Amino acid sequence: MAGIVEFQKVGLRYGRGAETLSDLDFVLERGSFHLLTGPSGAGKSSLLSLITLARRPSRGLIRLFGEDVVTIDRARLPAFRRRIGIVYQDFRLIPSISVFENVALPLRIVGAHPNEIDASVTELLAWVGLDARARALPSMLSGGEQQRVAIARAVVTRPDLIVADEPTGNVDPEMAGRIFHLLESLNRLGTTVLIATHDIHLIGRAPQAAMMRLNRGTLDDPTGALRHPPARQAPYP
Amino acid sequence: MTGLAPDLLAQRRLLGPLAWVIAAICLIATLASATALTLDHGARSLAGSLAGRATVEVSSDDPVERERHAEAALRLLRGRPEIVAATPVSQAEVARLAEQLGADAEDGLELPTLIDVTLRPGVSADALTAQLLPIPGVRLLPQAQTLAPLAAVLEALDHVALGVALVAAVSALLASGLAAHAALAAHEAAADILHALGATDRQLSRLLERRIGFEALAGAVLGSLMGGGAILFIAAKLQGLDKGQVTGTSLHFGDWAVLAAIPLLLSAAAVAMTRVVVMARLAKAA
Repeated sequence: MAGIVEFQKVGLRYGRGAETLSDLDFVLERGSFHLLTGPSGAGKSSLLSLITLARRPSRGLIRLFGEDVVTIDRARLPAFRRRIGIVYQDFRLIPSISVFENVALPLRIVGAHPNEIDASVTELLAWVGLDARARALPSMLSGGEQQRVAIARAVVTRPDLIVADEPTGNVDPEMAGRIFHLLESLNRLGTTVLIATHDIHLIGRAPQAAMMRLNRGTLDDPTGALRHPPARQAPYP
Repeated sequence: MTGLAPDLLAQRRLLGPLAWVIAAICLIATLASATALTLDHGARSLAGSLAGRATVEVSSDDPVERERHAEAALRLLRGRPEIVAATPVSQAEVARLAEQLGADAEDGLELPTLIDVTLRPGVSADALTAQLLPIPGVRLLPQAQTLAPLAAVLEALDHVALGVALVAAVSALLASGLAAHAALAAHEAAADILHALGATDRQLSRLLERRIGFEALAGAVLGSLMGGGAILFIAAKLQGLDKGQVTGTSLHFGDWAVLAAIPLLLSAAAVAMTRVVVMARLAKAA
């Protein structure tokens, strides 16, 4: 398997403060499933922001899909971002447009044909069980429904990599289980998945996942104890 | 192709403050431009009517001698090849002009005899001065020179009006730039999402350009209509004036085309400014 994300001695500093992330070295293989854990403030969101190209590191090398994205020209970044599907804890749907249009956004950005947009969005909304809510505004949906819309939006362009930041953080346990199942099924289709979470139950549901643990800005114990948490039984149906 | 829905950037009102600011600016720009064009026509009309024209003034306390000198001047002028026409002004007309200048016929002042002279194009009135020197009491008054201060005032007013129009255009640019800054700040969350989904800076910029361009055009058309109405109102009032007093004050077809282009130009400038501001701001992001 080829590395889809490679970090070499990556550091991130905000302003003149101490480094939020230090000396990160890891590789995410194509088609792998990773869980990124760590306490609040450990730097999980900062690490995801580097992978999703929302920020550039203060030092080190990051390769995405085999290319150095640290020194890359800014104009080329959108092409890389289009290969990454992002799911946020707070959904980040555009409130002024319908569920259908939110899911269609990535396709419209790449200039897809209207027929393709219609077919793909309809199929994905059915996949996440929201085909009946296609014309609704995000504000008319529950948290779990909004998260499923966000997942549909993240995968509508069939990205190579899915990055999810606490995707179950704002939904009830039953919905968390359904969302996790959606992400697992994407991974089975060959998509690389990275989920940042501190949900111990979610971690317990994914024994096959490769663990990454962030602590005070450094990665440690990538296959350690968190893989076998004490509360092993999953509460999700 | 952006393909992005225009309602991505939600707005509570159809037209924001920028439309009203641009309307006011466009009104000022339209009135200033119309003033500049009218003054330019007035100045050209004045210069055209005065160029190559002069008045020969023959004065003497003795009416008989004055008439003799006037006839001599008239003969001389009509014999010159550079003179198109030399026409004596009737004494009644001279008396009327003197009365307009405040002289009273009962004052017993001896009025001069005046001869209107039209020179061939390109001939300077100064060339005649030497010819007329041998005739006593004769003075040549080039009309362009006499009315030079008026022409200078018209020219200065023309420049001021043009300056006001330019200041209005710069104000429109600055207002558009501020509006672009504000719009980008107001829609920062949506812009971040679109960026994360792979939208380019140009795609984001186009969204704001469309929004601000629409507002600017709506405001500019409104201001232009108000300005056009004001110009037509003033034009109607000017028509009531004696044609002999005010000439060259009407706007031509080309002038109206210039005025009609102002809202389009202001809108285009607003769009261009938005692009510059938004692209510069986005370039500072990651």
